[in-house]
Amino acid sequence: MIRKRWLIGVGVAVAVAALVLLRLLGGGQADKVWARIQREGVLRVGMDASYPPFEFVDGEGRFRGLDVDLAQALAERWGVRLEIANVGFDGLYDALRNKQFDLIVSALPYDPFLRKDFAFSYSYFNAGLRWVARPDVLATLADPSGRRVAVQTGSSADVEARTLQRRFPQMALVTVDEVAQVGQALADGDADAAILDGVSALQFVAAHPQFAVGDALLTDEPYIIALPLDAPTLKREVNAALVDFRESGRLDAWIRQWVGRESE
Amino acid sequence: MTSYAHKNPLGRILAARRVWARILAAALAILAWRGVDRPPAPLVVPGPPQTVLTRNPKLGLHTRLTDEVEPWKIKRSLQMVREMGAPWIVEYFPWAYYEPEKGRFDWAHADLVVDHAVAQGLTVIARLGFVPVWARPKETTFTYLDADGYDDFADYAAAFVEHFRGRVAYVIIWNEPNLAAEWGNRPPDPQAYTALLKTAYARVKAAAPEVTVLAPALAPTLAPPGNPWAMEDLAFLQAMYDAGAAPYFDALAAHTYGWGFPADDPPAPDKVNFRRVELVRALMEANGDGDKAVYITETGWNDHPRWTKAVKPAQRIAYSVEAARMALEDWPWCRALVFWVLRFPRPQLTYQDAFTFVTSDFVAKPVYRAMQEAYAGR
Repeated sequence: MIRKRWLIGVGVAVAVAALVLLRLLGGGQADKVWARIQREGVLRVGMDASYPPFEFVDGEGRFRGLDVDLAQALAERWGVRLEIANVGFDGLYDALRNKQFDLIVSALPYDPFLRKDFAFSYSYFNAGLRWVARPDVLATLADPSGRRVAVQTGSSADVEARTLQRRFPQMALVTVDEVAQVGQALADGDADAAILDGVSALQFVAAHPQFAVGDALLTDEPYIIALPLDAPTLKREVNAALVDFRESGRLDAWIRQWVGRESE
Repeated sequence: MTSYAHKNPLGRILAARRVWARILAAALAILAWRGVDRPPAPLVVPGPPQTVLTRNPKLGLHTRLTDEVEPWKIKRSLQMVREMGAPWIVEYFPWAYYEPEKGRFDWAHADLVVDHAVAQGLTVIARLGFVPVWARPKETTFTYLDADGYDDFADYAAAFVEHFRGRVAYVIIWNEPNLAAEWGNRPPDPQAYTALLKTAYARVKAAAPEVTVLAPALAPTLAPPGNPWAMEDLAFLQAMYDAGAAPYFDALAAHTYGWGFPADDPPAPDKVNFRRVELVRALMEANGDGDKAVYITETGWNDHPRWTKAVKPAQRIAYSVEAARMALEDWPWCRALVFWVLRFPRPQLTYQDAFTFVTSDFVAKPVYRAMQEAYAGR
């Protein structure tokens, strides 16, 4: 009797352990999305191709940009053909939910509130706000008191700068209407430092190598690839690809090509 | 219930364990309820009555406090409306939230919002809508209400104005019924909407005759005739008049967004811009309704970097300040100009964030400060 109970206990424990292991490995759940990609030989990617340099339509009607190269590389890695669906930014998640495509690659900021509805890849770029200045000035910006800081009026950089001003009231703001004028103020010596989003910052220093981008992010805006929640194999494959692209230097090459230079 | 536990030793053991598990769970629940690990909640009271100091008595902000659960955030939001020099707010009071069962009302959260608003010296325009599950067929959305439910909605509207009598004097009946999405995913139907308006108007006036009933703001749209998803706003309003709506609203609510155009961009029937509301006004006058006022309950510009209808942040500031001036000086028929939107309880991470005047953590955006500089104070 005791032996029988012991055997039942061991059986239950093994079954629970197997379930946990399957869960941890992402198995136990058929990935129909991945199966369809393999079966039909087509990777369907959703993007809003109105956001250069990440995605846009060129003069000849072709999709171009960092995300397009990334999506193309995913398709090539899996030996399938790439199909791009051009959908307005605010319709991307609904379209993914309705299975109009397999994943979204569209400079998509991570939204933790959508985790119950969608899965997300590793981040492949961070567009958060950063300091830009000459290297000697950059090293002092932990305390920007006395510095003239250029920002685009009304932008998220403006909001961030005014928040910083609460801590450093001696920091002066130089506000201009256009992003391009922010860099110009810096280049012309009308400002000591600037706050720019990750893309604008890298583009500016690519053209003005006497300036540098700060390592620290003032705000965090990681770009991710969004996937259906019930596609664990696809997620695993996407993440494995991103790791390879990073390690092989391909991701940095795309960033250099499209954004100007990779982040230090 | 018959228990067979005594016949089975394992059952006895499990039963005993279940008892202890329940005792443990109850103890944990009591500890959690007593909040042993949490600091005490801050005491938030409306405080002494405030006055909005403004140079633009038409200025307002649409708040989104429906889903804001923390009282201090509700209070802070409304303080910031006052501090911007805006005497008006529009707030949404979803029917499903406040009448979860037919005839059972729970106004606790709505009271919190309204009491704080009144304490800040603000005038509340209440938007009523959001059909509860019990008032609509299964598998329909919260904007679906058929004719059988009009009396239920009218009962809610009447209960609302009765409960908030002396605190809320303006109600909007429904929202943008010229969009299918706002009409239960059915083709817009001005005759059906007019029937709903008539039913609600009678009940509201019977409960609180002094309340101003606003016909709903229509979504500015250029949808062609026969489009199943939307009906052009001017056509919808004319159809409402044709259906006999005029005696059943005291004033008209209006939505008028600037999209990519400056505030002073001239109106045209084939263009959606800020001054499109002048066409709405002209239509009212053409239908003999010129004595009624217009309350613009949503307006504004968006400065999202990647939304197709957005403008640059500096343009948003300039257009918003100018729009408020135009409403004040050029439009005598306009009583309120309410900008969408003060803030969201949490970032939406979409273009909607670029409509806000204040971040979710209460950092005033430059557009807020510009409006404050232009219009707050005496």
